[in-house]
Amino acid sequence: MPLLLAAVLLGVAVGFAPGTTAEQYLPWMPTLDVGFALRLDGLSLLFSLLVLVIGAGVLAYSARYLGTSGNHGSFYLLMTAFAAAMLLLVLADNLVVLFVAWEATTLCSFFLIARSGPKAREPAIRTLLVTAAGGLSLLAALAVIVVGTGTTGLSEALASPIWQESAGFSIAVAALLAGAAFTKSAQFPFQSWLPDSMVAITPVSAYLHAAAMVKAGIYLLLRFSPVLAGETVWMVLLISAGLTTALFGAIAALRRTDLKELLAYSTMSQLGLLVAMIGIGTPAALTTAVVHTVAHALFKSALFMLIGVIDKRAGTRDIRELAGLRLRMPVTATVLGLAAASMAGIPLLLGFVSKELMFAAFLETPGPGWVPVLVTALGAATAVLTFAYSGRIVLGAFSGRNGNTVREASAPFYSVPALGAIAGLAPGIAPFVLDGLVSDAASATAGEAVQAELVLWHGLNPALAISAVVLSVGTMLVLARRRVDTVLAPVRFPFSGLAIVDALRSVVVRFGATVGELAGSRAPRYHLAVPMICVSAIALIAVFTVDSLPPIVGSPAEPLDWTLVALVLVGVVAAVRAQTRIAAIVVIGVVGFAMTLWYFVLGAADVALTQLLVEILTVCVMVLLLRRLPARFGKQPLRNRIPAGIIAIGAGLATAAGVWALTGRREMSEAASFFVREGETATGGSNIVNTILVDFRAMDTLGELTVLGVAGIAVAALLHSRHPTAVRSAHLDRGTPLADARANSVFVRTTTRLLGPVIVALSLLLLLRGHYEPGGGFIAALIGGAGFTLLYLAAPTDSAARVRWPYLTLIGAGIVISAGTGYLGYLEGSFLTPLHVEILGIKLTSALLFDIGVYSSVIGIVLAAFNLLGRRHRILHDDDQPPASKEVSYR
Amino acid sequence: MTALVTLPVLLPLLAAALSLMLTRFATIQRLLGLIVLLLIVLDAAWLLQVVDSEGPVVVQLGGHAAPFGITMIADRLAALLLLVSAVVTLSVLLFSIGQRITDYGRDTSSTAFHPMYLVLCSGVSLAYVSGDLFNLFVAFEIMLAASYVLITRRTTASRIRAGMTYVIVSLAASLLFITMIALVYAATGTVNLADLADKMGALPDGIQLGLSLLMLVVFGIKAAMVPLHFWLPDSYPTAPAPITAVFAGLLTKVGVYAMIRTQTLVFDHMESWTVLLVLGSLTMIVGALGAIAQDDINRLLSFLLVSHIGFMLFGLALFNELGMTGAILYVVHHIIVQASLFLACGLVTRHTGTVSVNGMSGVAKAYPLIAVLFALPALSLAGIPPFSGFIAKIALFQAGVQEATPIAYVATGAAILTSLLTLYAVGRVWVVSFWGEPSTPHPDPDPTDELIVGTRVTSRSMTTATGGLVAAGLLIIFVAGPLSGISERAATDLLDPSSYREVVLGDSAIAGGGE
Repeated sequence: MPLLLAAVLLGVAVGFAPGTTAEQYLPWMPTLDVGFALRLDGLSLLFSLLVLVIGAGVLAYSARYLGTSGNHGSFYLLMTAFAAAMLLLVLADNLVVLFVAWEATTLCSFFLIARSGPKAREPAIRTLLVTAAGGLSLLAALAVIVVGTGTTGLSEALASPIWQESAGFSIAVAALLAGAAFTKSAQFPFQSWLPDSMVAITPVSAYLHAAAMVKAGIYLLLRFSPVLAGETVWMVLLISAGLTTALFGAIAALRRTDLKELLAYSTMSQLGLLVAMIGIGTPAALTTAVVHTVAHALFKSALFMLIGVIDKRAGTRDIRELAGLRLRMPVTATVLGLAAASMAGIPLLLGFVSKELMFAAFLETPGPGWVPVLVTALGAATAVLTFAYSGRIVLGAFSGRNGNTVREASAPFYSVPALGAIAGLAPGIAPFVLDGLVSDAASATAGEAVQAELVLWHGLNPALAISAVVLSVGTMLVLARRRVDTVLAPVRFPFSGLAIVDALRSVVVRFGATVGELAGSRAPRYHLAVPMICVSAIALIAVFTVDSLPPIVGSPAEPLDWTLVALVLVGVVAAVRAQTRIAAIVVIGVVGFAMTLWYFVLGAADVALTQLLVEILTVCVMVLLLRRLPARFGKQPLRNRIPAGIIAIGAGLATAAGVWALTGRREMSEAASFFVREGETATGGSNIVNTILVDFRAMDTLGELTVLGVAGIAVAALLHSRHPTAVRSAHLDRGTPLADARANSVFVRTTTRLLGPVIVALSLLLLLRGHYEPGGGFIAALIGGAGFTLLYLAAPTDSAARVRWPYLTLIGAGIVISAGTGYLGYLEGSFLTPLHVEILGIKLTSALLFDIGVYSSVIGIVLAAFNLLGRRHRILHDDDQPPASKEVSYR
Repeated sequence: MTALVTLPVLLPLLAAALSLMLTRFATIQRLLGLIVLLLIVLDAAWLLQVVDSEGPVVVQLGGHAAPFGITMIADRLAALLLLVSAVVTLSVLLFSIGQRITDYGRDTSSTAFHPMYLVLCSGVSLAYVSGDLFNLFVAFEIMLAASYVLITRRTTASRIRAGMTYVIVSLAASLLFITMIALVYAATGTVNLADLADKMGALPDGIQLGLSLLMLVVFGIKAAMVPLHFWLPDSYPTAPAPITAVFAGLLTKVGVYAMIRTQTLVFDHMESWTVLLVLGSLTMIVGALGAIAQDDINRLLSFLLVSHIGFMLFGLALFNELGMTGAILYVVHHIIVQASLFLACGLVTRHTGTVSVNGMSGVAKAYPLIAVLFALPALSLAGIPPFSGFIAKIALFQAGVQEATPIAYVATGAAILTSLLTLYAVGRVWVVSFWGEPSTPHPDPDPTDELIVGTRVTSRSMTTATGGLVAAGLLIIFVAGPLSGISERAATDLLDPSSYREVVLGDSAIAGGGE
């Protein structure tokens, strides 16, 4: 398929006038200015051709390499996806699409490396980490560009004047882009992943790690050269990193015995040269970079594939082991020699053309006089070493004179690399065939029209002299290669990149473990401390930032208030100091009753009544629980209690400060005065509290009664799935009169018999009159609940108590009635609008219906509490039993 | 038209009550839930369309004009989140039903699960459409009360204790919430959000700052903002997979929503808010760091959840249009992706019988479909293009750089680092648990615990539900255009709340208001 695409693209290229571009646009996220913009210019064309032609070659080769057995579907899928991603990358004219493609190549490479077996996992992860980090650097760069230029279009962004105007902008982008490209193209200090990734199968290495993916970084640098070339940061970063990688890569390559690893280091080294050339940034250097990209792609993919052939035939690719075998592979040997010669820069091959150009470009490096000298010297050193390791490949592979004979592979196997190597020969002899392609690409890169004239013979010039020196020194090194090996043996890379990545990773993981352990406590005090400290902190901030407060309106504090405050305070202190649970509940009751009194003093009869009833019922329910809990609280050590005390007091003071600063400093609120003034006309009810509950804020009531109902179900769900802890049995002497429950409860039972009907009547009365007088569904239900409490207490045994009502249905019905009433409101306009009807002279309002819903729910929850906590219950529903016959089938 | 706003709240509530009364009829219970949630999806989609073309829809409950009654209002943000949440709740319900039928048989009904799940949905919807601070509290209470039941039902004693952490922290948050409301009402005399926006401006700056910080803490606990996050990784992993999915997907996001709503509407943030930027960055980093060392896969995902809340805070903290757009996109993306991840994990643990990352291997080989269902949202979470997480991240990164203050750069850097750590965390799970040779499933340690593991049985509806949710996540890629359009318009609305106030209070109130 890539072959076909390539053909099409070639067709396009033929009818392609120099210097023009083709564009295509599909919108994706128009508001974020992101669309599938594609653009084909010289540079894109060149890289597209590389991606497609080499991709097609590698896929054809893979068919032989992998054979027909086994399942390789995912391999071909990933390779094709990779080619597509790469193609998108070089064609993208939108920064976001560029990034998408960039990350896609990273992912494909991850999966391609990872599918090579268990030992490939660690390398795959490391490769992913390094290249993904670079991806994020690219993303940051793109964000800076988008914000700076105001567009996500690549060509528009490049055309923006900001590159010239803002130095800081260019520096930031240059540094971030360089970071991205360095990770992708394995440049110092991010080089380590490339040799690491050689665990992947050979076709993957040949394509991704020689010809295509690593070139993505080069493409990126070339793409931004028009605006960044000449920028000092750009030059320094690229030249220094490039040459460092080039030199050390070459040295490392010379030390390898595994031919594939050798090629990996060689790739690093060659990419280093490319990066350095792009860093130089002169049109000549950029042209050279383009030529060398082509040359490198051709010879490196060919070399990888040939090593693959040797590996498959000989069963090894280690020079030391190959020395013990006799390789009779004339074609492979010739082709390998050809490709290696191109890499070494021997005349009549494309590698020579590009190397000549390279030296010429190095010599013209802008900057102080010592720069070109140094750069050229380092470049020449690299070239010498390149020559040396190229020789090592050929001679190393075919040096064996005895041992088992390895025969030539079949023609289809070596034909693809052979084509690649020969493709390097043709333009080597007649380099001008590439003129058009290279000129277009270089023009796009340099930002000005460049007419490349590639020739084999440049005349007698310094570059040729350097080449001559390189060739001769290189030959010497090859001849003296045993000596070289011993000299280089102790030389090591300044530091191992892998070790750094691993060390960094383990530090982060350890740190992460510590962070993770910060959570992980089940003690509530740790979880509650932070929010409470926050409260105090906020109060402190407010104290320092507030300069003036509104004046206090009226005199809100009465002497009686202070008495009540004192009462509450006593209750709180007693509760904190309580040793037993029952004591704590009693004194918390004191606080509750003090609050009730306060409401009465303020004249809020309904609220006070509610508070009172809730207090009573709460105590009753809590006592039911107390039977199952230890009598005393666990002792906390002082070192826990002191910080907890400080935090608690701090939060308390903060809240008090908030109350002091914010209350009583304004007139009655708009809403309050409206309720007082218009409440009755608006709702027909004269009890403001009730009208708020069932009319103005009926939705809140509906919500809260749901919450109440849910609480009942919560108890049911918990108790039905797990048996609660046992009831503590009182040590009661059976002989005492206290032991006879029936006799003891006579008084209560009699009282209940008398009071029962009264309570029920009172409850109903309160429900009906709630709209006008103190009362309402909630209070009425609480009173009804109190009635049931009496019934429960009066019963001689838990099971005899007549509280067995279908509480869940009551809760559900309550919600249905209230919510349903809300929908009746639509008859009159809006949700929850009360309807008023007069039947036989009695004014009825749907608010009453709503209140009945409230009543039903609240009664339901009270009953739930007594039924569930007060009685020994059996498990009620199937769901709550452990599944009787669960299918468990282990193979 | 106003019914579109009330139905997502009332329908599930009514259905919950009916479901409670129909505990004997298992099939009816199931159908009721599914139909109601499906209706809400349709309702929300319609609402979104209406709101986007005609502006916010307001319901003054009981016909009482604001600020005297309770206002419900659906603007673009609320409608969008309603829709996304409804899709998630529907998928999770389908998953749960599949799981329950597989485990307990077709005839088993439930007292607690169905009603409570619907109550939860109702609370979530109310939180989105509530235009009243106290009503928002009620919405939180409804949601939380139901969640207390869902997290503690049918589980082991030790898990109940872990669930208690959740209950206690949530109750503390509620206590702070109601205190905050009391203080706000004391200071301003109103709890209607639109009205508050007017009245808050009249208070001294320090008081405004204090109240806005207090709201940040209250909602920060719900949203698990660092340093208020400690409860989350301790409690979420203890619930069964579908419950964790809906908690992780929705409940934290409701906290974030409340934060976005109150901070933009009630308070005047003219420029980026340093405190929140710092907290957002911390949230991202701390969560991600916590995640990389975890062995329990649910705990790992919980830390990642914390981490990614930071992205939303980051977007909000910038208080510019791009940042807000990014935050909204991120909320939408994260609701779906986080829920799908937990569902996928549920499928995985059912087969492998363990939640330990190191304890399982070869999932990809043994269960390729489940592996894909895990991989897609995981990649999205890591922000790998072109998945939804990436789409949301572009906007956030752009916003961070656009702000061009040192702290915004630091936050952007933190976001980038977090993306890398996330990728590492999910990559490690993938490598360790999904690759290699399949391991033998661990036996179910406790059959009464609903965190059922190692049964090897999953039903088609469980995979369908997970697949549907994953597909919804993928759909974001294709509707990225319209979605980012709506998000941007929603962000504009948030930053200029005058139209919100106008529709709630009427034009006259605005003119007379102390703006």
